[in-house]
Amino acid sequence: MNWANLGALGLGGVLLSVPIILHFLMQPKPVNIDFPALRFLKKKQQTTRSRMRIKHFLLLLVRCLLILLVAVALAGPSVASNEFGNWLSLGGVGFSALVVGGIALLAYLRPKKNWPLVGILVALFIGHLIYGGVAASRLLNSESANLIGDDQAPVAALVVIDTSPRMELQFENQTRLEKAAEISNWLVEQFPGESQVCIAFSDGSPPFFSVDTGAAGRRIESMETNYSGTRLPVTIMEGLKILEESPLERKEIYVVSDLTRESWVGENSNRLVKRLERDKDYTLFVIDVGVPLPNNFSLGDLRLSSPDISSGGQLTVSTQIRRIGDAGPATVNFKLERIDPARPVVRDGVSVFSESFYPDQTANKELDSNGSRDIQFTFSDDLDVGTYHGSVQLEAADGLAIDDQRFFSFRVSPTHDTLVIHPSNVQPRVMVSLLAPRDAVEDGSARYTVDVKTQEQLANEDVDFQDYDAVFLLDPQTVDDPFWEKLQSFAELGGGVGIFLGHNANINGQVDPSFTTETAQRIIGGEIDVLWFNEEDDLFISPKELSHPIFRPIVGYETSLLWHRHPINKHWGLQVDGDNETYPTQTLLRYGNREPAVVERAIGLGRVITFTTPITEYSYNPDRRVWNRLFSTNPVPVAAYLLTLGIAEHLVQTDADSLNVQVGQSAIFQNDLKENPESYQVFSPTIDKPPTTIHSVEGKIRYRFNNTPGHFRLRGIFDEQVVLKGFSSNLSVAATDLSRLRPEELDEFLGSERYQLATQKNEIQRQQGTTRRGQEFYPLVVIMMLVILGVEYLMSNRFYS
Amino acid sequence: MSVEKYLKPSVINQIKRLDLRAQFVVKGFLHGLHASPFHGFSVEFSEHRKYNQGDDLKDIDWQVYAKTDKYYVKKFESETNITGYLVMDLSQSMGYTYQQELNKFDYAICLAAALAYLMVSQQDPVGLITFNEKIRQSLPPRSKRTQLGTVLSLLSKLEPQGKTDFRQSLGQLASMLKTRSLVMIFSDLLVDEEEMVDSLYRIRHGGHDVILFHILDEAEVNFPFRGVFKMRDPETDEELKIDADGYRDGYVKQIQEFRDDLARQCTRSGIDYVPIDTSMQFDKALLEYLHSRRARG
Repeated sequence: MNWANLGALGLGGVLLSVPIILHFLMQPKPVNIDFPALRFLKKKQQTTRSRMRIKHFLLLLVRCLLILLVAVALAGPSVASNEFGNWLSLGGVGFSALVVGGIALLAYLRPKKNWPLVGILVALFIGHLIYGGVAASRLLNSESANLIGDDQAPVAALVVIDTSPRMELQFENQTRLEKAAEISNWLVEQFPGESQVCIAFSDGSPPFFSVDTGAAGRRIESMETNYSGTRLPVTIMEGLKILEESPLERKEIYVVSDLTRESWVGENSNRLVKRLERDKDYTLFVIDVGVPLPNNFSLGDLRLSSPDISSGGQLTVSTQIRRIGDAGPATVNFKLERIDPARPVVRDGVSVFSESFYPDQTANKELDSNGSRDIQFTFSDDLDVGTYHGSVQLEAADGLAIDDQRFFSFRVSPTHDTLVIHPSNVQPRVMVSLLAPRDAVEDGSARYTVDVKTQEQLANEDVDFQDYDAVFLLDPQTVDDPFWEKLQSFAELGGGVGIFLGHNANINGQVDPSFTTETAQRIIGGEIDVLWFNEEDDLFISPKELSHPIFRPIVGYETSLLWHRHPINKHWGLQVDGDNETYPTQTLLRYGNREPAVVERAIGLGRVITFTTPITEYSYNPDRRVWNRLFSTNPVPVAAYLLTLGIAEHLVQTDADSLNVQVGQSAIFQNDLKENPESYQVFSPTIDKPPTTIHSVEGKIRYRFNNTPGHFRLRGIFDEQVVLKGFSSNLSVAATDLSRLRPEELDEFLGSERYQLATQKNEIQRQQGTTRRGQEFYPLVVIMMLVILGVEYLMSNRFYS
Repeated sequence: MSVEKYLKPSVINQIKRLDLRAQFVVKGFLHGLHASPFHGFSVEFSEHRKYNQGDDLKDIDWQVYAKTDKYYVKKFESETNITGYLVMDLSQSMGYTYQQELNKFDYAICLAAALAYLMVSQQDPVGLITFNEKIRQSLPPRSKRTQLGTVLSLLSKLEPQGKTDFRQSLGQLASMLKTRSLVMIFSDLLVDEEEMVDSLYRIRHGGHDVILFHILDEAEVNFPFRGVFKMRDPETDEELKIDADGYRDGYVKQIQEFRDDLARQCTRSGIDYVPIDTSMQFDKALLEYLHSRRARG
């Protein structure tokens, strides 16, 4: 139970003494009269006087009760609305007890006592008291929301506003963010004077109490959509820390959200639930500004065939159009900027970007209700070396614009030089054709140049690995330590080494010792220990986690790759040296038996990838059983092709630069100062935002302030030449997922019945009133007061003139 | 306007002369009586009329028959022999009233005067005796017309004073009564009940008819007080502080029981008990007298 004005109870206690003093000290002055029949009065004097004393005492009690009720009414008792029924019941029991007690007393005072009746009434009265006492004790000991009982008492309020991109959804000519701002402003205006208000946005910025409600209002006015913020549970937790510091007794939390799942799910719900359970006194309102049935078209993530193509190479950009709502048409445009060396540049305070574009491509798609369609654009041209920016834009009538456009960047670079080394007993044909297909070589669009040398040749020639971007070692035979050391030196300077282990490392069923030397292990990434056999054709590789760059070519096709058609019959077992801090090593791919298939080791600036089964096996070998059928068909299976392509691109570090990142992720570029400037100007997509300058650190440019979708352009000067780089930043598909949170999911975060959900101002106002004051007992107390007043009137009229 | 209004104490209080009070009360009473079942008891002067079949043979005037040889009935002649004593309680408690026009004593005087008027009008001898601790005045019964004036004159001079000693006073009265008489006692009977009843029995055993007019103030019957009072018994000077509201029910019950008990005891001994309070009309008392007279006729 809560009291609005506890002092009134104390005052009531003091006032209680008034009728008592009046009763004992201010007895009425008797009227002197003659009365001859005095003897008849004297006969009953003793019993009548006793009865009168009891009646007067009762009257005194009634008057005390009356004052007590007045004090209670002034004290403003209230309880949380869900307890009101219990309190009302208790009030009923109390009142019933009073009535039964009164009747019992009257029955007792009757001259002719009906003792059984008196007994029953007394038993009833005692029963009432016991029941009421137990119920009251339970209610008083139960924890209740902290209700002050006064709308105007200052409040420490935390207003958490969801500023996610989803809040840009338009509905009824208003974005959700605008509606949130409107309601939040109204809320702030509602707070009583002296209130402390903390406006917390889900942008990850630390919350704080505004100086006053005016400042809080201005903060709301200035709020913007945030593309890389935190989820609401985190924001609420941070806000609670601030709220806790407030000395004000009443604390309220308002969460203004569209209740999309993405704003909530993904965080550990237990922490928030426990915290809210601990701070039970804090009242919590969730204000839903979302749209239950939104209307939206959206574009999925863009998939580029490669972020790095050759000048005449082909770029494929594919994505998916998704529809939430009724069926309808959508038009998608593909735009690609031409490189303008004079831009980006700042003119008249705004950034100006290249305004020259290659011809647009347009595709029209009809989408089913809540359906999706794949779409793909292909671009090919003789592009100059450099970084290009483009976008795919959806033109359709929908509520959310932010997910109608996706950005991409890619680089056109010279071909990468590679060296393929193989022993004479295996053929490198597959690898060569993968890196440099004949037709691509002929038309000049090949991404790689390939030099092929046998191990024997290499022993007789002085080949400088530094002339290559990557070296591939196919099913090597015995390798001496100097060779391993040469590979290590190559890798440390940024070269890529691909090792495909095979039958040549096997000597009479044992591992060739030259592969297990310390130097060899340092390159391979672990110790080769055992040869695994599988005769049943039921061992495969099947990538599960595709986040590593070697799988980039696979992403998008993963469900259509038939890995089970390419069984692995033999592979080397590898004790991966995963704890090595000097050369970080990770297993990128495993076989079905959980043994490592592909392992990456970082050595210096370069990378080494070891595949524990060879790439040089054919479908039939008269001398021995083939190790795998990954590459044994002609043409090479797509799955193996894409995987090998991914490995090659990773080794030549086409993915070293972050050309396409998600909002909030850091963009990292290799920046060899021998060929690149030391610093760059970074132009953000927001044209009125002045460019910032970043510097190269340890051969890398790292840009962390990527908080907006769009193209970020880097401009530097090296050798009096303009150097242009850049990257594209996109929201994740999830960031604009408008799926709504289910009530039970919200319960998981906030606790069932721990919060009050409202959508309209009047709902908030009503719930605020109920929560602040709870269910007031004022009307009940006043009714009881009136009843007691009536009883007092009757009794006093009966006892006094 | 009807003369019956004179039966109301509030009206009678406006008439200062006691003889007129008595006359008005009786006339008012008789006027009402003509239409009442008591018509046969007309107290007009007696007359002779022819005997009719069904008349009581004892009512035949044999002297007239001797002279005229005809049967005549002489009405009421036999009633003229009642000797009445008006016995007035003179104690101080009789002088009490709370809110009425007449106090108990005034009421008793009016009633006594009316009865005296009535009796003298019928040529019945009527006497007056007053008492408190003992008999204070005694006027022997006479049936002369002048007796009324004497009685009224004495009544008008009476003042209530002193305590009541019923045993002593009625003892004296009993010894004074020589012939069979009708003793009409006017008192509030706020005395020891046992002594009072004994004294009444004593008179009754002396062969006298007794009509006991128990006159109480209306406040003594209904106890209309509200609030806190300090009450004093005017005869004993005893005081009692009470909260009237708490005492009312008990008191009213007590006084009713007292009157009921008294009525029972009086009935048992052949005493006519007439409970009266000062708010009542006088006719009740007069009717009681007529009842008594008829019983003796």
